[in-house]
Amino acid sequence: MKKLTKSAVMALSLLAGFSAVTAAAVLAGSSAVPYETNGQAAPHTGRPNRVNANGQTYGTAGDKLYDEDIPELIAVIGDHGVQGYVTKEDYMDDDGVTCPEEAVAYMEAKARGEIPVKVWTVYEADGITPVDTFTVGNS
Amino acid sequence: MITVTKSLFFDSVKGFLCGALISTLSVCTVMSVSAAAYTTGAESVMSPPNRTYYAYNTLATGKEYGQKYARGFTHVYTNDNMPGGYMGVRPAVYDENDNALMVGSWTYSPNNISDYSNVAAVFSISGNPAVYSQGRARVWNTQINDYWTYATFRTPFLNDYT
Repeated sequence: MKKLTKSAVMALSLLAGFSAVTAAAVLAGSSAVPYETNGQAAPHTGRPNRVNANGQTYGTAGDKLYDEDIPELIAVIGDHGVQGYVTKEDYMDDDGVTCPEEAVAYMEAKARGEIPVKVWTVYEADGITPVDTFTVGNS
Repeated sequence: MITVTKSLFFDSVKGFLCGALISTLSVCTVMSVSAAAYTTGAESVMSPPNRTYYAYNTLATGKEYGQKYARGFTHVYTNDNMPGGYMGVRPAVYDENDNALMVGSWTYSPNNISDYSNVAAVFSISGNPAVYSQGRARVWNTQINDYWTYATFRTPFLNDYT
């Protein structure tokens, strides 16, 4: 009886721990799976990424739906028409807005002209040589 | 019998020409802004706990005051009016080689609405490149107090700027 009780306790504990970690993994993070209206998770799509001499992946982002598929260097046409790459860090930046209250304050600051225009550096595929700039904005 | 004097005739001609000029200017103003083509991408479903949101992209191309443009919109909506900041979008326009031509800044929904969108626009396009619109959307997850961010499905290509 004692053995059965100990086994049951261990099994329940294992199950509880497994469930807690799984739930945390599902709920955590801000990058989510896009679903089609038929309930299916969207497929992984897009051109394959390449790797430069520094070991960084480079390629395209507009054709990809999952953040993990987006390369470290993302293809753009710069402000002066030069094709190059911006960093994934720049591309994925969310202006540090972490909640609706901050979003509202951010939009108010934007309306007052207090949010500076972002300008990303455009690099060659080596991720080191700057070739152009890329101004972020709505027009 | 109606007598048409010389001055009356010239007055009528002047009037006719003025009317024609005004009409021409009006027509030119209307015709200088046109959406030559418009398309909509597939809708995606975003389901943080307790709420379902939907997102999609649209794209319009055309010519405005002699300049070719492409305007890509990212839309997000839900079934109820939401507090401010619950929905955010970041639209973008890409070319046929998937190079980003324009990436908009993140913007967020005002208070008490259920449908929000914003635009990324490219002007002074040369040639007739095929472009598409694809963006990102953020929706507030009330269960974990964090945003969930999704890429949205792209639109079909457009290359009509007439």
